[in-house]
Amino acid sequence: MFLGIFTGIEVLFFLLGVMSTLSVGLLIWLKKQHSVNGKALTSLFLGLFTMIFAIAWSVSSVLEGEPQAGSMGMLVIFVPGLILASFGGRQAIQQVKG
Amino acid sequence: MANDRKDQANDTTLSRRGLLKLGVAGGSALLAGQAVGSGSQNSDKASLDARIPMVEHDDFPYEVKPYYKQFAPENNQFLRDMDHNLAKYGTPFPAGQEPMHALDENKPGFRRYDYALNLAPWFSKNRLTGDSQYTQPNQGEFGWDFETYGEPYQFESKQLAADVIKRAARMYGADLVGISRQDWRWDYAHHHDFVTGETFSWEKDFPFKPKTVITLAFEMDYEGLSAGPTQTSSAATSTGYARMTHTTGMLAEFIRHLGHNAVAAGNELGLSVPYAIAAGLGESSRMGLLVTYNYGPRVRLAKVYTDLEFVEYDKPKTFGVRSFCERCQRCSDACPSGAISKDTKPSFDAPEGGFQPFHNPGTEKWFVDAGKCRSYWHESDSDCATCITSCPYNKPDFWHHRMIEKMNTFVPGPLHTFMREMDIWFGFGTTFDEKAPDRFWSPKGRMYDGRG
Repeated sequence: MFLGIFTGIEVLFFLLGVMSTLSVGLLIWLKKQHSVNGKALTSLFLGLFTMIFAIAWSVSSVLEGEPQAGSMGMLVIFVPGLILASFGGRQAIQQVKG
Repeated sequence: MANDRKDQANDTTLSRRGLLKLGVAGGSALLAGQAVGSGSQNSDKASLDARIPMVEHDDFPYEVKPYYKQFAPENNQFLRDMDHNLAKYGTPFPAGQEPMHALDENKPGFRRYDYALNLAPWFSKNRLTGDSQYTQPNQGEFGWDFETYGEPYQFESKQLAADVIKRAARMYGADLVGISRQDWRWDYAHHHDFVTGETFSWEKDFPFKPKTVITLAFEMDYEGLSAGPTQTSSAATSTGYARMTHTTGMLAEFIRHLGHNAVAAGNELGLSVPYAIAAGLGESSRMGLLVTYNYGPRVRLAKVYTDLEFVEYDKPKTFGVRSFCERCQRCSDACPSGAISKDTKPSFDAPEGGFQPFHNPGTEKWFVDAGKCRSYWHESDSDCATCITSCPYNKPDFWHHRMIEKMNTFVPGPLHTFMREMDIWFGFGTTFDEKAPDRFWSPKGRMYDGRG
C-alpha cells in the first residue's frame, strides 16, 4: 500500500502515532504557554483521543473488508469525539485569546 | 544491598503511597473477581490467568451429570440421515435434493466454479481419509495400523514435550493446538463402520490404550463463510477438512517417529468439541460449536490420540462466551431451519419434542436439533454455517475485535444485548447476502503476484 513495503495496518499505526504525538504536543503547548485550565484540556484530550480511536477503528474495518463497520465507527465514535474536542477547543481558544 | 532489600521487605509500616497501591490492587482484584464470576460456572475452582480476562479451570468447566453416557457414533445425524434417505429414496439424499441440484450459472455461490471450489478439497480429503467425516473409523491417514519407530523417546520434562508437540503441530498447519488427558466421557462408546455395519471396541480393536488427546483447530476462511449459505461458504468447510487431514496425519506420524503410538482423527473416535474445551481451545456456545478466542466458531477441529503420557496438559479456559450467548441469540435468530435453541440458559432438560438420539444428554448445554440442521443442508445444497457466520465472535483476527472480546468478559449482561445490536448495526454477521460470493471472488484489493 504505502511505497509497496508496508501493509495498511502498519501505515495506520504509524499515522496514529504521529497524530497522538501531535495531540499530546498541542495539549502540553496549551498548558505551558497559555495556562489553559484543566477542564478545557480534559475535554480536548478526551475528544482528540476518541477521534484518533475512531480513525483507528474505521480504517481497520475498511482494511478487513467491512466498510459498514467503518462508516458506523465514524458516526458513533468520531462524532462524539468531535463534539468533545470542539467544546474543549472553544474554551481553550477563549483562554488563549483572553 | 541485599540486607536493605530484606529490611524493606520486613518493614510492614503502611505509608500513604502504600495505601494508594493497596487501593489500586484491591480494585483490580474486585474487577478480576467479577471477571471470574461472569466467565465461569466453577468460579470457586478458577484461577485467573495472567492474561486477564481469560480464566483457567482445573476441571472441565461445565457440569456433567452422573447419568451421562458415552456417545454412540451411529447416532451421528450424518449417518441417521443417510440411513433414513437410503430407506426412503434409495439414495443417501432426499429425492430432488441430490448434490448440485442448485447449480445455476446465474446464481452467485452456485455457479460451476463455486461448486468446483467446494468439491476439490472434499475429493482431495476423501482420497486420504475416506468417509472419516461421517465418523467412519480407520481410514487412510487416520488409519490404526501404522508402526512406531524405535524406542519411545523420553523428554526431559513434560513442558518440553508439550512445547515440541505444539510447535510441530503449528508448523504442519494447525492454527490452535491444545493437549488434554484422554477422557472416556468424550470418547465414542465404540467405533462403527457404516459400510459393513461392524462395530469395533476400544479394548479389543483399537491398537493401543490412549492416554492423551491432542486437539487441533483450523481457521476457516472469513470471506468464504460470509458468502453463506452457498457452495462458496461450504468451500471454507471442505478446505478445513482437507487441512485437518494433512496436518493431523503428519502430527501422528511425528509422534510415531518419537516411538509412541498415535492415531489421527477427524470426526471419528470421540467428540471434538469437549476435547477442545478440555484442551483450553475455547468454550461451548448456544449453537453447540466451539468458540475459540482468536477465531470464534470459525474453526474445524481434529484430534490425535496417543499413548504418550509424559506431557504437560492444558487447562480449560473460559472468557465469557456462555454469558454472552445467553443474551445474544444471533445464531438462533439467523438459523434458517430453526434448529438452534432460543432458551435463555443452557440446561440439562430435554428440548421441545424430547431428546433425540443425536442429543447426548447429561451435559449442561443448549440442545441443537441436528435433524432440522441437516435437512436444510440438503435443501440449500450447502453446508449452511449461517450460525457461524452470524456469531458476533466470528471476526477477522484484528486488534479492535480482540479488544471488544476482552470487554465482553468485563461488562455486565445488559451491555451484551447492546453489543449484539451494535454488531448488527456495524454490518457484521450478515447472511444470505447475494453479493458476498462475488466479493469473495473479486480481485479488488488483492494482489496475487506477491506485492500485496
